Amino acid sequence: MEALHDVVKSGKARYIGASTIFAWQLERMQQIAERNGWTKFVSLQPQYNLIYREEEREILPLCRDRKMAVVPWSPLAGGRCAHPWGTKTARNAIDEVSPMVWGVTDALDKVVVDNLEKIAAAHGRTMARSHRRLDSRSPHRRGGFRARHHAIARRNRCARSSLRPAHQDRRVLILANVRSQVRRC
Amino acid sequence: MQYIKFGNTGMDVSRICLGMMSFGKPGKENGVFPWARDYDDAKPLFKKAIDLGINYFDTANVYQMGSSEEITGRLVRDFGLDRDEIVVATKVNCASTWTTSISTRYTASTQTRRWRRSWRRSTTS
Repeated sequence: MEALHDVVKSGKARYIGASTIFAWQLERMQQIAERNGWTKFVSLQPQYNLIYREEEREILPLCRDRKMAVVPWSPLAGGRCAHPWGTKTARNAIDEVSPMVWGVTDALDKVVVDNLEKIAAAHGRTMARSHRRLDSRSPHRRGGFRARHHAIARRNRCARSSLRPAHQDRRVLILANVRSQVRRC
Repeated sequence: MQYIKFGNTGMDVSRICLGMMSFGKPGKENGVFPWARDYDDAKPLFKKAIDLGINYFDTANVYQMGSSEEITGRLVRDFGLDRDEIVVATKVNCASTWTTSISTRYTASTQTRRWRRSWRRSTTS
């Protein structure tokens, strides 16, 4: 952290941010910086998309509390959420990194992407655009999120949804339910 | 283009950031993203982005072994962008942080060295 502080002091960078990190690591590093009067991270760059939402549990609420900027990487999961499952592109034909990042959860991810495809078709939108709409209404975007909404959403899960039954996927549903609760409160 | 405050910094950034990982020297010999597009392909895309009001660009030292940073620096210079009006983010660690401890990856000397190289690539190329 001191090395990063030196980079800011020397004027080579204006701010520092953290990328792809666990909540406990971020909190620990911020504490170390604070204790020593060094530059703290102002932003976090986590992976965040419909097939990877793990960050909603710990680090996104942490960033919200600390008023840190959040800049997701692979907002469309390297294209996986931008076209029907299994679509061949010039890029993914020679891409060895994507299978390393997402390959192990292919079976789970396919369900989500298939559902996204159905939702997009039902609304006459591209998958990328449908994804952005779901994402931009997420409580983890600006404003609206309070912890109790999570509890309400869990209780009411599947009770109400703006999605048609044919499109129901648990992960998409949770998002939709949290969303509707936030809008109501 | 919509602009938002970047956390609590007071900086205004466009809500859409252009990921510069797409750009770099193509080919396997130049890094793990053989599909990367070189300067000439990046130029029209970058122009479109700045015409739309995007003022936020994200690169990294590992993107095609630094050539993404070089292209980013060159584009910023060639389009005469005001350094006070744009935000360029880069990254200096070369591996993800899955399980290893912070202390082994973030030693002061490696960090400073990577920063120095990063800075040189994006400002002088």
